[in-house]
Amino acid sequence: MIDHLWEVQKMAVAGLSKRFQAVSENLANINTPGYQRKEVLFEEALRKAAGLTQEEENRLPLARSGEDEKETGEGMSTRPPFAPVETRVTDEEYRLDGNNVDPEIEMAKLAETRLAYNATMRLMAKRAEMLRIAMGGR
Amino acid sequence: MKVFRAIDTAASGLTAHRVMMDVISENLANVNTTRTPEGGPYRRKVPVFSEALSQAGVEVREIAQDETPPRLQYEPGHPDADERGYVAYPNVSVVREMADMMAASRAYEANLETVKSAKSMWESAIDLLKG
Repeated sequence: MIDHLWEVQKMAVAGLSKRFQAVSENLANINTPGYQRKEVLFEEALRKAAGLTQEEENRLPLARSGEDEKETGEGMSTRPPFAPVETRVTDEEYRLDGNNVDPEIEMAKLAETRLAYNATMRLMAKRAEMLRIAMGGR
Repeated sequence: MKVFRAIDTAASGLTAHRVMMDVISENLANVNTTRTPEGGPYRRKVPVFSEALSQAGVEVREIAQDETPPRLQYEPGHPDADERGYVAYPNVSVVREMADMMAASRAYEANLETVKSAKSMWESAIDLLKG
């Protein structure tokens, strides 16, 4: 069950929750003078950790039946660890008090992150459900 | 868990903006107060926000006083008038307080939205257990 796709989904969820944390900090500091907003980038790190090259773009390899276990789950350990990057945006001017949080952008990011997180979680739940049915342990 | 930490962060934002609202309402209530225990007219209070580094979020560092001079109004009959007939009224501008109040309530709503989002995310993570 711990195959390639499951690992990638786990990393995506970790990246999304880190981004969500950054957005919530930005929104909490919306009226703090001099606050510089935080931004989390993880898509590139996820692609690398999933072992995807530029040519493959965002397509994950399909799991094939009869394939050796090593090819699916354990292959992950040889790849670089997944590390989302959190940065401070320092080169942007938005308000006179030095705060560069744009409420509209943060609200949009909040909604986007929530939707992506919920969608990934739902997919994972569906897969777990399928496995549960296959195990006959409903 | 990051999603739980996000709720704490949003809660710090909610608290900070609630304090801001309290300070604004105090300023508005005292817009014409000419006598205070410290003597002289009421002075506008300003909440000072700073980024909380220990627990990720925002904190109210202090409630400072606006040291701009009071607004003088010619009212010779007023008991607090000086020898030239001017009364020192608080340095509170109603329009500015109203604008600040809007900013505070919008920021409060934004943080509330974070809490709602975190709740929905947490629920979907729990659904993973339900299957």
